[in-house]
Amino acid sequence: MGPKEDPAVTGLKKEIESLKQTLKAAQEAAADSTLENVCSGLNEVPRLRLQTKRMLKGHIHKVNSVHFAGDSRHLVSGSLDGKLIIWDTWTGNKVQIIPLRSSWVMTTAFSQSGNFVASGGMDNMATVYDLNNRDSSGVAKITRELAGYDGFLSCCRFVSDQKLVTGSGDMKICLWDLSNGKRIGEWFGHAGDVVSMSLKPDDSENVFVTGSVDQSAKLWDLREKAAVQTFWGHSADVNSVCFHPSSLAFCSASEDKTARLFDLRSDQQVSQYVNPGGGGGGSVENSTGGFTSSGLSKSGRYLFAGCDDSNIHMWDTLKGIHTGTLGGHENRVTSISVADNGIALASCSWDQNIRVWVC
Amino acid sequence: MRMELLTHNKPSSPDPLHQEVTFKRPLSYMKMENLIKEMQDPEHGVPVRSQKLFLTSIPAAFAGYDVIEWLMERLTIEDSVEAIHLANLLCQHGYFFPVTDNRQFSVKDDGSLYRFQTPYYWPSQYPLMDSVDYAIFLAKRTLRNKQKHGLDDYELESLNQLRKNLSQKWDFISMQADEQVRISKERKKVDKLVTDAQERAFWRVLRPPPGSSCCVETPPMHKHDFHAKEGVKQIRRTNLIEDLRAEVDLLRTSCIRTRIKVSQALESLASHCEAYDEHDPFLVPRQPSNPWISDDPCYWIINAPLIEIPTERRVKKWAISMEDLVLDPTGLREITAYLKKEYCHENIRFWLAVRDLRYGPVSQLRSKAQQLYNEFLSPGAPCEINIDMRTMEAVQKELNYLTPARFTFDPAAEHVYTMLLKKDCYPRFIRSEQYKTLLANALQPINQKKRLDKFLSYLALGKKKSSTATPPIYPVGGVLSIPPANMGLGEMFKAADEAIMMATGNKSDLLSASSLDTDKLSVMADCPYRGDLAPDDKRDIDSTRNTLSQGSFDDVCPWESMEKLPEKAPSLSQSVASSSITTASINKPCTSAAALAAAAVPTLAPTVLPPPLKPVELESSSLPQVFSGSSTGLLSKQVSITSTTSTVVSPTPAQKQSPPSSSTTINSTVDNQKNKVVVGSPPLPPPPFSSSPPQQQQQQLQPQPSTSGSCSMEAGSTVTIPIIGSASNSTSTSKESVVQALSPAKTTKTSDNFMKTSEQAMTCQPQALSSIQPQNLNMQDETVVDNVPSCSTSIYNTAPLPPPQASASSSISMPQAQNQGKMTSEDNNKPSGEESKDICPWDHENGTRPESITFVKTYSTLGYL
Repeated sequence: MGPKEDPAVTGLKKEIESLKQTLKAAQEAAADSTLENVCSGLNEVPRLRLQTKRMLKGHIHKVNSVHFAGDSRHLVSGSLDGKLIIWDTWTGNKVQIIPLRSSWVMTTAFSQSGNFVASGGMDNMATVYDLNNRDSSGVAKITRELAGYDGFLSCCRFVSDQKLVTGSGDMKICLWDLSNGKRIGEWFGHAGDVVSMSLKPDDSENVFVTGSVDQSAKLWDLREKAAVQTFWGHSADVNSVCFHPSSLAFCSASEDKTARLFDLRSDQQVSQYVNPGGGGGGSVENSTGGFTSSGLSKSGRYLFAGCDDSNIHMWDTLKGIHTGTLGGHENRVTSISVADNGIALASCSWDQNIRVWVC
Repeated sequence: MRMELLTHNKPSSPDPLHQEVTFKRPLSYMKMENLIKEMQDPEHGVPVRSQKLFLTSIPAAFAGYDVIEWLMERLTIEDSVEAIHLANLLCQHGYFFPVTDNRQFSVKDDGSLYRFQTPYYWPSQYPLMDSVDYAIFLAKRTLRNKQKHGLDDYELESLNQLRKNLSQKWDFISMQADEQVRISKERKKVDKLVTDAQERAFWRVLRPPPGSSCCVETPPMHKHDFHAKEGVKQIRRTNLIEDLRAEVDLLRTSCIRTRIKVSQALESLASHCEAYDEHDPFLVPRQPSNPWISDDPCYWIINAPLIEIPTERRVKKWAISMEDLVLDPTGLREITAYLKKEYCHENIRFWLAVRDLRYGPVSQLRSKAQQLYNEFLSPGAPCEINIDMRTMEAVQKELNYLTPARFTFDPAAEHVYTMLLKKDCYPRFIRSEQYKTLLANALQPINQKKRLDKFLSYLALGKKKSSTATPPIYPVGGVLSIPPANMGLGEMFKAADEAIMMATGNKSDLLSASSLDTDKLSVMADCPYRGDLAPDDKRDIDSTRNTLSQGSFDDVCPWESMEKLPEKAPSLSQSVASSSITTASINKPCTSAAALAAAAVPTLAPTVLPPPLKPVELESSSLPQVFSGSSTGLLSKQVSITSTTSTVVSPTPAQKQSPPSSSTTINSTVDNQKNKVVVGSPPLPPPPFSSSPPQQQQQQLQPQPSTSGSCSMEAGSTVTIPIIGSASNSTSTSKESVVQALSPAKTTKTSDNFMKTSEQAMTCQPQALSSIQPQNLNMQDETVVDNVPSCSTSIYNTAPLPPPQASASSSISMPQAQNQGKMTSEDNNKPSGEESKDICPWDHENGTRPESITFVKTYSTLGYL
């Protein structure tokens, strides 16, 4: 079958295999303990009683992305109805509605300062809107249209009001200078679409982690040319990554129906979270659906993951116990966002609604 | 998928134009359509006929098992499950639809009935159907038999929505609907039934009910996008070996990575979680209450990014790590204030300045970088920071060989942050009294509605007060707020200092320069380090420059002089060690305190004459000025000395000579400065009265205040310029002692006759004295009320309590305070009308008045304060 393989290729493939073995061995050598052992003495955390306190209705199509502003109160959501809506999640009011040029929005980001929002999707472009600068009809003006992608834009985050970092379907990561609309740099490394990113809390200017369809997650430093660290483990697309507030670890949520916790310093996966419900009895194969999004509580103790089965699952990260689900959405949960100060969780779904969960 | 098998059905010679059009549709559509066409073949297709269901006959329908069977036969599928899946897909794409069931678009392998969709209604043809058509369809159905054609809930909802959105087209839509209903009435019943069902199925696919998805949506990618994507993939395929090599490299680097033990990593994770448990709102009940649950905005108010009194939890969090402190604007403000008090805030200022540089606009990059270098890094810089040789060299290399970039100073900032701030300043701050008082005074929100309300009203009261104390309403403030005479002055001044970090609206009144920035800031109030560094830097540059030039104690920006005059006084008296500050602030006590306390100056002057002042004298051109200049120096020096020794000087008639002379001398030094300090300053607007002949100056006396005002404004806008600073400083000092005092001062300067001067000074003295007070007091009132010093809980009631932190400086500030007290008493005798008259010019010159009002409004309406 197929053309005969080049001996060089086979040699390289063999080398890769052997390297994978050594890598595994090295990781195992460092793994002198497990999460259960270390955290067995810890107190139980109170069971969360999160409730939907606001149901944000207004989109008339699937909502694909939500993101909180730095004030933990304003939220941007992007939907396939071609609108971005800026919400005041507390009052439940829409602050602004921004019609998009292309309705195929896949990601939205709010800048920490609350001055800008960015969105992008299958128009292969990142568009930045200035919320403080409105045209005659009261719609926020586009400040930048950042083109130059060969694939859809799947994730973006504001490094600051002047810088935007994006990941896209053409496997690259771009950093943009918003003050002049120029690309500062491009980074390659993933072998599949980059679908998610999360900035490192204590060094958000430079370091972030990405998740990709190539089943790996990578840690990047904008001062380096290539990825700093790569994390394997998932057996399907890594749909979401989220940095631990300690900056020492991050968690990921994947299509393979697991969420995992990776530690940066020990360079490996330290825990795996699965949904025991759905009759699966804890086994991965039988659990209900792949995870689409993830978020951590302010202390990093709780992990939330939005799921295809239209629930949001919760785990105690340290004990690895599944502590419950948040039900309410009627379709796949596409994105969740934990407010900056950890007071609220927002989730959006294909059922066209956004829910704000608090306890 | 099975579709791949159908490739032979592709059109043999597609017309290029046609291909152009259809290319945007996925190829699978064409495959499916060809299959459907085959299905509908009268001979070999699926048998379509009128089906009998109970008593009714259903025209043009086929059974589920028929289509499954046909598919299995046609595509040689073994497994019926696969055939059902394929049939389902065809059904979901709207090529045929269930006759009876409108909800579920799925095919069952039984006798359930289906009907082919007419090609006109193939949804794949119109993936982006106009909503006008949908509106017509819905409107049409409302016009017909309700039982048969009634709208579902979701359809009704979207009809209402569309009616709203398409209101301008609605006439047209209803007309069309009418027309179509009319036409359909003329049709045969069977036809009508079939077409109605087809149309309905069509929209059922294109506009599915909520919860189910529309599978015919196409991505808005253009043709070239497809090509581009394919191109990328091809390139990657050809570079297989390179890919593999890259992977090998990646794995190799991963293998040699140093790893800490997992147990260690996990422990740190666990301890982090535990440390922050208390700050996780999901784990611990929110204080005072979760705003979503209680509908009480108090949470937002007391947790605003910048707040006078942070909550206890917040203060506690600062103790966890340096990051927690500096990432919180309020925390940053507190530590800066603390370090400033300890005279080692150059590190944090450097760090902030680098951060500012990094995020600042490109246009200012060069000037900012230069300014930064001059201030902090150049050898013998005024605020030289203490970094090791290697870092220094790295920075200098970058500076020399590259144009200054955003990251030029990063290594140095990193060093300062990790080595100095984090290891030294931060722990000291956490251990300091100031932190402890912060913690003690911190808010402890209680989860009780009543108390909250009380607190809110309390807050509102505070807010009101602060707004009344803004410059526009000066006269009122002057009357209303009794100067807290025995409140530690140090506190007030510290508050004034903090005000700069805070960049609040009231401050922006004073800092006309940064009012724009701050205004912008107010929008979200989240990014406190935007433009507020500039004045702060400036001020220190100035003060340090003063130290360098040793005698040039005048080149301070006007707003600084206003602010700093009193502010530096305690610092002066507090620490003799920090000579730089003392020299810098010499002139400040001399204006504020000097006006009253400058006692035996003439007698002391010869003895205390400090050498550093001499250069000034040398440079000054005219003899009388030299004389007066030096004497000022003495004077001010003298004053500072008096204050340091904390002798309380009561103003006697004899002493009254001195204040005017002090102001004279300042003026003269201004002239000197103009000649001298031009070092690297940008082009200067001509100082209003510098080189003008004496007569002119006398003429200028009346308009003086206004000119000084403009001068200070200019200084504000161009930030640097020591000379303007000095010029306007002189005016502002004289302004400090207010207009009337200024005019005699001027005259003194013009006339060589010293006696005459003093006489004049005598005459004007009472005025000068009295007029100083309102200004000073007002200023203090304002700073106090606005900036609610971190430590003082007493702000709200404005009770004149000495805040605990003042203890350090209290001994020093006492004399000052007493002076102030005297001033007050004198002041109180004054009719308030005059006060307001005195203040008016200040009001006018400050162009930010309307802005400030709007500022306050937006700030409060946004709910951040």
